Amino acid sequence: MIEIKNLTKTYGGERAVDSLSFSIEDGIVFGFLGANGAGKTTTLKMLVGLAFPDEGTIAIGGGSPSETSTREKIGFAPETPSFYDYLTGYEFLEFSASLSSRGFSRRAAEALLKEVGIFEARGISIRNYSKGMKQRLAFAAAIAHDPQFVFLDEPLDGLDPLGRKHMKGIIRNLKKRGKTVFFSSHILFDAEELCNEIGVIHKGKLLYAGETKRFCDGKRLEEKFVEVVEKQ
Amino acid sequence: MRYCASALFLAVLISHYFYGNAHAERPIVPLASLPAPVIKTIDLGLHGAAASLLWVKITQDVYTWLGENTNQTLRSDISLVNALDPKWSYPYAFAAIMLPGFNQTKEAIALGEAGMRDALPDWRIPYYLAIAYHTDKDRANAAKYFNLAAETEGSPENTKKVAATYGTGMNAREEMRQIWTTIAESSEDESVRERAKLAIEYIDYLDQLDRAKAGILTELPKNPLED
Amino acid sequence: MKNIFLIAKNTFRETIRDRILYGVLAFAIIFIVILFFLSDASLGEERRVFTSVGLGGIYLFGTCITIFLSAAMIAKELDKKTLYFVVPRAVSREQVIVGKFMGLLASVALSIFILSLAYFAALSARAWFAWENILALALQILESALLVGIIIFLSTFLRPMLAVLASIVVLYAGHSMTTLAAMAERMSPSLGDLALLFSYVFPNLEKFNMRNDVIYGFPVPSAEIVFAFLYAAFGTALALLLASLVFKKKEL
Repeated sequence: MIEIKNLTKTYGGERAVDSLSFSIEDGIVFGFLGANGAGKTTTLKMLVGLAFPDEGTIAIGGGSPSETSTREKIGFAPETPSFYDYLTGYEFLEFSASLSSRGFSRRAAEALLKEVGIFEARGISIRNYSKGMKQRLAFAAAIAHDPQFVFLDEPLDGLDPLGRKHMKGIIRNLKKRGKTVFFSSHILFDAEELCNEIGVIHKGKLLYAGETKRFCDGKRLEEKFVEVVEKQ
Repeated sequence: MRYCASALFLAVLISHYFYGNAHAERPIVPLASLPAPVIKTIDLGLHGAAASLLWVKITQDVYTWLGENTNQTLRSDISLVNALDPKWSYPYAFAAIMLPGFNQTKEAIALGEAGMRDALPDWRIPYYLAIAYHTDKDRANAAKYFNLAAETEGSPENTKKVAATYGTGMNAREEMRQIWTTIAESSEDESVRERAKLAIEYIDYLDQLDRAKAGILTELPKNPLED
Repeated sequence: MKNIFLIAKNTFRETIRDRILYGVLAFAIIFIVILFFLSDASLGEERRVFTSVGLGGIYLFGTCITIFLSAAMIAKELDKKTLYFVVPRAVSREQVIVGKFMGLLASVALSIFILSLAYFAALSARAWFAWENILALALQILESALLVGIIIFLSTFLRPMLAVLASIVVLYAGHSMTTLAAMAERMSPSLGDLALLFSYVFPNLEKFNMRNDVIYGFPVPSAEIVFAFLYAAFGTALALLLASLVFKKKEL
């Protein structure tokens, strides 16, 4: 379970995240939605230990993300990922997978590269990868160690329609395997397709957290989202 | 674009050529040396390397100076080398042997004495210093330093001979020939060997003049113009 | 330990593949050729000139590599956010710092080693090789270790250009402190005391400078080497500890 209580973060006098509180059960695909600059990435960074909350608490699987034992269960793929340019895709995945107690298996790595669709490019330097290939590699690195909680920041950004379909399939598989997937997105169509539950954040404040269907209330997610946000 | 680049390149070549033709040789202002404490502060502890690089500069300049029979900065450059690396013996010895050739005998002696005080033991310092003293007509100090040179570890056999015979009433020219021969045979420094060779050639020239004079006196014992 | 080694290996691989080694090799060849010309122009002092300028050149180039490589690596990590794949994992921030340090030190040591090989080969060709040269270069690597630690610390809170400038200041202060302290002492005793205090607070890099001893073949007391090693070890550990403390609080 992911539990967030009164999470607050201030930057330069402005509250980027303002008293966020919600929880996510295991095995859920949770879409964290908001416009650009709403506070999605800030929240994500606090969830994975890249930033520290000014107030409030976070519990992931019962532990704080500041503990390494908690981060053992976490996988994270950032938005616009940056890599070590001179490593190959395979080497980077090997590095990423090895940073866990689970260790690295060549077979598993190759299977994962095939799953995300960059197996053929595994021996090429990452600096020669396209944006979409980097996005796929980031995704692979996030799940290489089979984490229980997978955090993805705009995971479908930069992918072509085939790539998006592919990655959505992988997210659905993760869900089937009982993983908890938390992803932020401003593309509501994908969230509507994938997410059991969503959270809507606007100017740092949580407007809604709960079932997608209940939020939509018969309308399309995008339509309902715009309606809710414009009311603020 | 390609033609443009070629045209520009051609323009560069042409302007380079005509600049070369237009450029008149002007005397180069010598690079001012920084004081030793400043160099020691900025050289990241590489005093030895800084001294070596300055030494190489001196070796390049010295041939020009020898040719023009002037030296602009030899003494100050060598002093700077000594200040950067006081233990390095050869620059002191070099100063002692070369500066008298530029009428700077007192300066040569001062640097030689500094070398005796500060540098690692090297027979060349007292030996060349002795020559400087001899040039300065101070035979007492010359004898003292010839003896010191002979006693210094690594000195060639000839130095012992020179120390033993110096000031014993031996023919002055033979004495100097012996002194300079030691240097000519032992030095690995081309410029110092040149200097020694010139000194020996000068002595040979004087000998030739003496022989010519003796020959003339044999043929004409009396000056015919006196009659 | 495993994580530290993984990060170190990764850092080493990334740095070495950055074509820096090709630059080092090219410089080594050009440098050795220049050295031969320089020493031949030294009027009988070839060995001395070759050794002093050779060791000096390896030091200068090695130090440039140390400063620019270290500052660039950390800056790249923080700017390009490559650390986003490392920090959220079961890796402590201390492990990241130590791993980065070990990877960078390995790259720097390899570069110095390559330069040294070319230098040793040239020395051996003229039968000038002396074992003390290895000592001088080993001490240079110790100095580089301390510098890498300091640069990593500075890079955790300074922008890359400022970190480079600050490192250069540390480098110059570290080598000129002895000279400046002596000058200060001659000017006034209180200034001398102040300079002495600075020489303790600032990293004193002259401890690792045995180049003159190599040139003259002076034996170096073992105690000096031991204390130089300890100074480097403790100084580096302190720098990395400070870096970890800053990095722990740093938001990425």
